[in-house]
Amino acid sequence: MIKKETSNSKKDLIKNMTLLDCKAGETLSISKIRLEEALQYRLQILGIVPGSQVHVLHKKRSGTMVIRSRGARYALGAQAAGGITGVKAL
Amino acid sequence: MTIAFAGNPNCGKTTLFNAYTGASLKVANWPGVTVEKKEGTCTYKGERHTLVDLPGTYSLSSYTMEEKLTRQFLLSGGADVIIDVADASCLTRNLYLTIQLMELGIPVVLALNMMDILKKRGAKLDVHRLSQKLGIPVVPLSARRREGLDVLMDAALEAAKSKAVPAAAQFEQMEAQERFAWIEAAVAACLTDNRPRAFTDRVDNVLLHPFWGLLIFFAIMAVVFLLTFTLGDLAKIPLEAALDQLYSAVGQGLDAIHTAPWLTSLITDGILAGVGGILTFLPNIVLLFFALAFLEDSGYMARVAYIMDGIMGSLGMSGRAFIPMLLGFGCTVPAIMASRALESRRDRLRVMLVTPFMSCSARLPVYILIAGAFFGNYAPVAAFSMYVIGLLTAILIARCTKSLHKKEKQLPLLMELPDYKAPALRTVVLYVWEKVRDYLTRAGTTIFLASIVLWVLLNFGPGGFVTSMEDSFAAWIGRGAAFLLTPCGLGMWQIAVALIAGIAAKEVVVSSLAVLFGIENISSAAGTTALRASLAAYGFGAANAYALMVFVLLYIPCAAALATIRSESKSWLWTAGAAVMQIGVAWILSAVAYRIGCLFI
Repeated sequence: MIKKETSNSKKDLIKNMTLLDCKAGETLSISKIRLEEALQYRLQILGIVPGSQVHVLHKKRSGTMVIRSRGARYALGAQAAGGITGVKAL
Repeated sequence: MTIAFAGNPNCGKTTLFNAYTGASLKVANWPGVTVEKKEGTCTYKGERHTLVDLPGTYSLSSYTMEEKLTRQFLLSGGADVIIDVADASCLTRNLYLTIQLMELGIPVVLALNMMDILKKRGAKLDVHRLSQKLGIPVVPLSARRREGLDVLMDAALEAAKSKAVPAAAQFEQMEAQERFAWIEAAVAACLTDNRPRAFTDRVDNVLLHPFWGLLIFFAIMAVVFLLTFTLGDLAKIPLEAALDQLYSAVGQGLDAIHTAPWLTSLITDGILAGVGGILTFLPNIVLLFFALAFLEDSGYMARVAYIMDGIMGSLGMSGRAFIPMLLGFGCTVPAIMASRALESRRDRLRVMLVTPFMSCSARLPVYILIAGAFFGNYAPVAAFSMYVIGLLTAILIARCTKSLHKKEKQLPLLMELPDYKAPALRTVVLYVWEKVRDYLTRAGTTIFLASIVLWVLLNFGPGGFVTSMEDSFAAWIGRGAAFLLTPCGLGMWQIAVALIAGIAAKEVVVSSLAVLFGIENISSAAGTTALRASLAAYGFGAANAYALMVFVLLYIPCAAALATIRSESKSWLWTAGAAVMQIGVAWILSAVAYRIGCLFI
């Protein structure tokens, strides 16, 4: 079973993951955002909504990261990144 | 005409607003809240117009105070026309607000700012096409270079006069996601080659580096600190000398016209010394805010939240709270003013509570005197331990107040990091001027009252005007209150009086002790020995001395600091609460220090 998971790289790519799982340099296509209402709203008005893409520019060990969305950069706490799910974009 | 300026944070709205209004700026608060309201006037082609700078928001729904205020103001007919300022290099997100503004039924003109940067990058934006798509006038400009300002003003006045309400019916049924899709399509049709700015990314690779970024941050903070305090204190010397001359000149003048001694004392020792004390902080404040304005306008300040997120986050504070807390080691007054860099009011209030525990430079003379008198070779260790105790107390209080203001729950970090740019001198100068004016007017009025009260306490007694501090109300209170200080090992009326006098400024504790014990030249070796001998006569030993240092470290920093807390928090209740807490913490910890000290010595 373990072998299957590691060898099947194509399947890995379309696997759902959170933004927190992304490394610096990776891009996530957002499919779902599940966060506290106020925070979800703040992301929404920045255009960080399902269907959009975010690119991870920098990431600290704590999970706090700098992302790019629609041409702007944001610092984002790990807590928030954990509630944003999607698939890795190429 | 009333013209409202709306737009996202960091879109250059304030730069544009300043370009029109210059220094005619009037800063007040929106009724009932602490969000700043900026108003200015501008005379254009012989007509005077009122300009209102609305708080920077990303949307107009009613989640945050800023959004609510903007919405209410515009809906209540506060403006004839809205100038929506948008950063051309981040158009999609900016246009989301544009559409919401268009739905209000007020004429809207879109000002596309930072066109110079867009051009430099080789991107082309079809302004006419964008204007057609949106159905509102669109004016390209550069606020920093002051290009396109007249065109924008013409367009805004034209729209206001013709009452051209934008057509926004098509957006009514759209959800946020659909709106963004619509905007994206519109932008794609107008903009070619929108590459992200590589310069900022390259700089960020260094400044946000996990190791180098932190190192550079500390280096920058060291420079800010040195600039504020070393250079500021240098500039203080001639200023203080000039003020001293003024006091003596006024004193002599009053004597010459045979003014009553008490009135001369009130004017020179009370009012002039108190208000003059406020002026001596000016060099520090100007330099500090110059540095902070530079960091803010260059785009670095926003990064501090990311860099310091981990360390300050464990205290439940934003990363930016590090700056005022560090500055607290120099002087509490500018440090508290620096708390304005924080995003939430909850954080600002907590920083004001914690910062005074950082041992400021005015406390050092007290440590030097007391530690020198009682701890001999260990004096530097005793003095240094004060800095550690102050820091630990600050951390403790920060942790204890973490859950304060439960309603304003702390949201996880989410903050825009703007592009780096060369700070505009005009913005920096206006920023500094605004803070200085604020400081002088707000802190100045409070300190005026405080210095009169302190003067009365120290110079008046039950029998009227007194020439010796021993007969004053302060001594009277000191005698009555001394027993309260007994658990701290400080149950002497002279100490109580010196502590009351120290509220004017901490270094006054030293001179008060000198006066009360009749010691000349207290900072000399002979003076220090004499102080120890006089105190020893009351059974005041090393443990008492250490408790005194702890008390001086932790109790009310000074009247000016309290006045600053009052003017920054805009709450007498909070100021009083802070003062009571400081005295309480000082009392408890100095009592603990005394008890522990007694075990060893």
